[in-house]
Amino acid sequence: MTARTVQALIDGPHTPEAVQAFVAANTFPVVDGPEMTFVYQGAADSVHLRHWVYGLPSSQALKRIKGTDLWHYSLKLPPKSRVEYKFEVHHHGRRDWVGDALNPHRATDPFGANSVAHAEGYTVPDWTRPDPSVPKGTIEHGISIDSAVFGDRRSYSVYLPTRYRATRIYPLLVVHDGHDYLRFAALGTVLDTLIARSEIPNLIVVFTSSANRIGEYAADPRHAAFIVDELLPDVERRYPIRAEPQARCLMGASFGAVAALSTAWHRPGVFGRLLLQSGSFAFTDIGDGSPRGPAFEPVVNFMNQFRAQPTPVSDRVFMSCGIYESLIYENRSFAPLLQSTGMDVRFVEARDGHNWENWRDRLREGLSWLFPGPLLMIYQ
Amino acid sequence: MAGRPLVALLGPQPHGERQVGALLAELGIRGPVALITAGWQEYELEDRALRRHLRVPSYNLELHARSEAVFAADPELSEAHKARQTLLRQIQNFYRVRLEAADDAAKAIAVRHVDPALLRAELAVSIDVFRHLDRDHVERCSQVHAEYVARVRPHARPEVARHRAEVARLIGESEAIVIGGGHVASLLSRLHLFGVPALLTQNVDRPIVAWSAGAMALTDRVVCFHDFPPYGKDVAQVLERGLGLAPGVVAMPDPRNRVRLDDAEGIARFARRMAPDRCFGLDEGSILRFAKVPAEIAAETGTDGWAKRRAQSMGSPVAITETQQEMAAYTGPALPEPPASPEPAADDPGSPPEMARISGQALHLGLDGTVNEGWSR
Repeated sequence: MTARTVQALIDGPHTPEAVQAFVAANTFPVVDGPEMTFVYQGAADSVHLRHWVYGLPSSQALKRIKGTDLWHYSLKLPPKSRVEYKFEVHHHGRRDWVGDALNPHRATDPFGANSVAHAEGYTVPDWTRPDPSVPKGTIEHGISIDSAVFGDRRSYSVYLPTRYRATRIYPLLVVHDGHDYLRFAALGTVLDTLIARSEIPNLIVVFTSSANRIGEYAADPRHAAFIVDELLPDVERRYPIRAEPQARCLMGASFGAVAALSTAWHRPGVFGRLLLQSGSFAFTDIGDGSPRGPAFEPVVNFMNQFRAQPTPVSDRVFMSCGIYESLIYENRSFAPLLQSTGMDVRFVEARDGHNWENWRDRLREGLSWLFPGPLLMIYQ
Repeated sequence: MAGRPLVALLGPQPHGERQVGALLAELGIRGPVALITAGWQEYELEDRALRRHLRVPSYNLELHARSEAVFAADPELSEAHKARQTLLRQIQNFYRVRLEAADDAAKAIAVRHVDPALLRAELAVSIDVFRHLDRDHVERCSQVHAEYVARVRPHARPEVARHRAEVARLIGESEAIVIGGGHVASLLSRLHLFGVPALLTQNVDRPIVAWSAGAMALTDRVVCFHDFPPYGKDVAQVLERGLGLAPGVVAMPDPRNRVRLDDAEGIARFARRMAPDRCFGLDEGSILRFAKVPAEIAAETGTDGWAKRRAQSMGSPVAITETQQEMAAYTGPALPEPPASPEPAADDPGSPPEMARISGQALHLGLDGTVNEGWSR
């Protein structure tokens, strides 16, 4: 069913004035209860909606409103859904993927930007938005370290909270794809805001990235050695970090989550906290190889090995996954397996996909559950 | 001084602490007032607005700043303190894991379809599990503190002793003591470091006015709670012993923002878990006044009484050492086995707790899950 305002345009006069009035009067996509109507305006031979909602056809044809340059397509989305999309426009033999010019909401990632649709009930969390009244931590970039494990020189960045004192000791969070988390998931703003609200404690955050993440993050034992034998001691030399595992967390999304889990598996007892978002936890119940391709083979080998003999590699694990991701099956089946080892596991699903703003939107619950702030202790 | 309220517990003071100033005026306090804002931690000395609203001369005891100075001057004490805090944090985490399991079990049992009488009996068992966990946790924390005091002897270290003498002098010169809110664990730690519990009972004729975390610190047990944390849910947990100067109550500041007041079952469970202590929600504007005769409070609930009873239970002579006195400030008397949890019979706010008479407006959380506003006696 099409949104009422769109249907009114379809049924009514198709004059340029009517079209202009319609565009001026609406925000796009048009949300009418559970109905979301996507609208493209422009000359085209055909227009398709391209999204990444697993479970729906990934390409859906828009229909043109006769006599206008408007195209529309409606689908039902459950409340609080968040969907990234583009339009595939065919015109004069060209095929282009373009953002929705009528929708100002964009989400960026390492590959560019997508348009963002918010279903009824979804709001961008206020704690992800910069607030000038919130004191800011500092981020030091370009801290260099020689890696004997990889035979090269690497660098990482460090976040220090605004109330950092060298005389105190702090919990540690190590973030895989850390620089992407800063750019695309507003992690710096989130840390500042949650600390200011006392929802997480003052903590030190290390942002690490890899130029070969598909290789190194795919359960490579060298990565675990780099994190535990090289990066961690270097951080300990420079900053006052609490020694107990309960005060140390590894975090990552997608392959980054595999890297975090496999590091904890290779070196149990070092990191007592894991934050695993949309983990690429591909496995096979039978047969060789993964339908997801050769890059996943080391991941599948690791996950099959772990699943065959699950062990408590950490104390407390926060997992999240989007319901609209293809990885939802792997994550749903992995959470109870982790719980069965005795680890304290919280698994959260969201009506979203495999993207940075999904991961951003789960950070408050994840970080505050793994590292509860002094909120419980503060009574003003 | 007889009949003058000695201990007053207030709710949050978000608007410049005007209620505190008004209360001091009502008590006829002209100053100087000794102010403790150690719960504000690094912001301890941002007290200008507060001191203006007290409307009497005042001085800040600067306990947080003193602790920073002590730790900087005494690295061995600083390391021992950090190690103790780490241990307490770990113990608190394990206690919390057990509480969560107990909470899950209690909730699972509560929805079982069985004979109502059996269900009531099982719910009583659920409450008893919490009460035993709470009691054991308090005892474990007390043991950690006692071991720390016996081994490290912070009270005897030169820098600490020097600051303690100053704090004692300042409290001695004050007409009243005002204790603010903030981080309750940090506040308690600084109060103990500088011997304030003993000073408060030695200077028993001085009124004590405390709000939020300060109010919590004065009770028998400090109970931390928040029904709306960012991670969805939490179970109320006992932090450790309080100073025991506001006996028989559990102080719960800001209940409207921290407690699901419409959850009658949850409130009943909590009230029964805390019994015989009564649970009082202290909103902005609330006040609980303890109008006990000063000597009786000090003897029965203060450090002197605790120290003597603890020493006796340990087989020591009644004339106790300074270290034993110090330990007793943390540990209090040995706790008896908790009685069976009370049945949720009709709540009787008219019966005062054994140790003190309470009057004032506050939210009283009843054993039957009701929340009574403006309870007074």
